[in-house]
Amino acid sequence: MPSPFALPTPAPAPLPADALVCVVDDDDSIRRSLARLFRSAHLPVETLPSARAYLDRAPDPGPSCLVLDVRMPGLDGLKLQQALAGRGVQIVFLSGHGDVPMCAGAMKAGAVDFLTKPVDDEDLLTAVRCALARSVETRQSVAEHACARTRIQTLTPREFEVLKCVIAGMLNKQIAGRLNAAEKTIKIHRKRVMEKMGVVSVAELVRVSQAAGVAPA
Amino acid sequence: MNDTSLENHGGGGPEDQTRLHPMETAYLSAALDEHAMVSITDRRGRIIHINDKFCEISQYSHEELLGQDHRIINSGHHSKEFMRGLWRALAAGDVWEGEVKNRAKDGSHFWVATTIVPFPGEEATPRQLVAVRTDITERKRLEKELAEKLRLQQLLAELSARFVGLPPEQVDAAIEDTQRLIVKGFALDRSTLWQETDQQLVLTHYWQESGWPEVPGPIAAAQFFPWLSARLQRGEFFSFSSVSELPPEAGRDAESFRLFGMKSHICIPLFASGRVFGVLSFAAMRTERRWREDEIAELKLVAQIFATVLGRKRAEEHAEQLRAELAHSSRVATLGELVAALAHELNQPLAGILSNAQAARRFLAEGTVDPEELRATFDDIIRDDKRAGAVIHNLRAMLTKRPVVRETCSLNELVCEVLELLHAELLGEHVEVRTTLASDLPRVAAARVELQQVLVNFLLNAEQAMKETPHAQRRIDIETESRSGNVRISVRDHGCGIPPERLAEVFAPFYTTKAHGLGMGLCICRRIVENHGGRIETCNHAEGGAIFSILLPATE
Repeated sequence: MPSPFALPTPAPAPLPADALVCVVDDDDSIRRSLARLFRSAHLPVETLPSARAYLDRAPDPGPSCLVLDVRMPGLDGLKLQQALAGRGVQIVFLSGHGDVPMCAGAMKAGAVDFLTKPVDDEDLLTAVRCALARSVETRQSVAEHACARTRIQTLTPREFEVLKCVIAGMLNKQIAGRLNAAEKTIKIHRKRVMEKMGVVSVAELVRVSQAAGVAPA
Repeated sequence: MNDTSLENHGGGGPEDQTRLHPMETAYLSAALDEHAMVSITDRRGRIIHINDKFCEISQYSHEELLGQDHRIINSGHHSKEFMRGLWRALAAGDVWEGEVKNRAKDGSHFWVATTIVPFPGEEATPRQLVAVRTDITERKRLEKELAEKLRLQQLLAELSARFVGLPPEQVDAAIEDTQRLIVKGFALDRSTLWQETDQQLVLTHYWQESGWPEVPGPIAAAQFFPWLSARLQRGEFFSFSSVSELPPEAGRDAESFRLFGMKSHICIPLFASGRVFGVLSFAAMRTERRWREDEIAELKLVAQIFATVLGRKRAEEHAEQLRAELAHSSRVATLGELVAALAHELNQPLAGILSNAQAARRFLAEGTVDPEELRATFDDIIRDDKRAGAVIHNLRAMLTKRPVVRETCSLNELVCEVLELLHAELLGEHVEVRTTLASDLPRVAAARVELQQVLVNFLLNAEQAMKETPHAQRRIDIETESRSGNVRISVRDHGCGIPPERLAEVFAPFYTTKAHGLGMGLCICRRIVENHGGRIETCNHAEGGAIFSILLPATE
């Protein structure tokens, strides 16, 4: 029986076929056992003996999760995390011994979880699934951003000004006043913006603009 | 004198200027008969005349002897060569003189100074042999006694020299051999040596003449000789010629002496630093004997020598025990510092085992189990389990307080074991280790854990020395090599080296560069290596960093 206090586990979203778990650990026996565990959970897995080997390898085409040891010869796990900053790699740390500052540092730098060995299969698999889900999400939003940015580039400078005012919540009359134009002209620009951005509501426009990194006026 | 006696019996003696009056001849003959055994044999060796003295000493009557030859009193003591020499001289017509051991009728022996004079007849063989013998049995006995006495004196004189500079492991055998010499020298039967263990006198050494039943195992004196051992432990000397001399309260003791067949006994307490720590005893078992004052003094001298030797050995053993204890505490302290790293070393295989087991359970739960995968899983679990076991075994060996035993071991293996132990520790400090191990390295006789301890110390010091070194340059080079009957192992770090003016004091006690270090590590290392008959050294590398090395004698 699951504990009545346990949070309801969200039904796992089906993972794309190209999802991958990558284990980086210098201990051969750990790599073998983790690979076997992920296979038993039907998660495609790849293992690498060092951080350097991970950096030398081509980035994953699909969603992925990095299961990373901390203490390794050469480049250690925390350094690899720094090297990967901004690349959106989802990391689950698996350390032989974790102290609080080390764990806090890793989490602050965006790790999905920080687990210690020996790790229970459920804990590890939950963390890895969560990381993969995040990876999927991130990839989707990244795709969305790219799309929004492309659309914004089709706007004229005047239309871009209008967009910034619209997402700032200004009324046509206010925008006309601000841009020193007729309210009617603004109305036309506004319609064009909605069309070019492929949205039907202001709310949607706000979301897409934000995704593209556009600041309100 | 011979000439005159011959005159009396023979008549055909050499021409002599001095002619005696027949009366004088008779007197001389009477005097000779009083003094010596006289016998005359014919050409065939048969006794044709003997005097009363001969009968008295040989215990045979005239009748028993006349017609016999001298073989009747042959003791068999003398060699054939001796007898041939005698006959050769007589056959050549020479007078023979010598000391002969003969046998009386009752089987007892007597010594005589003998002169035999041949009187040539017409033929080549002597017609008659006249033998005059003087009883020298008492002189012979005294001579023999004196020789024995001298031999004993020499034995005692050589005794202390024998133990000087004797390695401790040879002391036990030398003690028992000395007991043998003393028992033989004093014509005793058994010598026992008892030493105090847990306030009890326990038998540690003994020697006895063959034919007596073996003394059973390590027995405690108090069990068989309660009265006597109490007196001895108070430092009192005790001896008796007969068990009946023991006082009534020593009933149990008397019973034991009779049981063990000891008739006369002497017990000498052994002292070290004013305390009794043992007892040396001697026993006569065939017959009762009196203990002469000079014998007692000599045996006391032997006891004194034993006390010195054993006292020294006990002191050395005690020092060795202290050294081992110090080495042990230092190992425990070192391992204490390594707890985190050692936990990691155990954690890895445990983590592997857990993941493998849980993976196997998942495969089984799904019913999609691949036997090959399952077999590989179990293989991995077993391997990890053994790996964890090895860590524990290694730890237990280093923590154990059992006396360390020497075995022949390979320094290369030792290096690998230590590196396994320190793997996590060195990894955590970003230290890279490079090894150059000689493939044909001879083995050494060593206490494994102690040498491991030395290597652990070297490696931790090397790690410590590189605290300020950038991560990428933190490296330790370990090298083993064979050097003309010795084996060398060196550990080099890439730190800043040791200041030249401090190189000499590195192995001295309380030398430390650590804020909380005791400075005993390298000092203990040096004691360990020197105790193995080896040498420990340090120097700086020309390209930076310090080198610590040990040189040990190879067993092969």
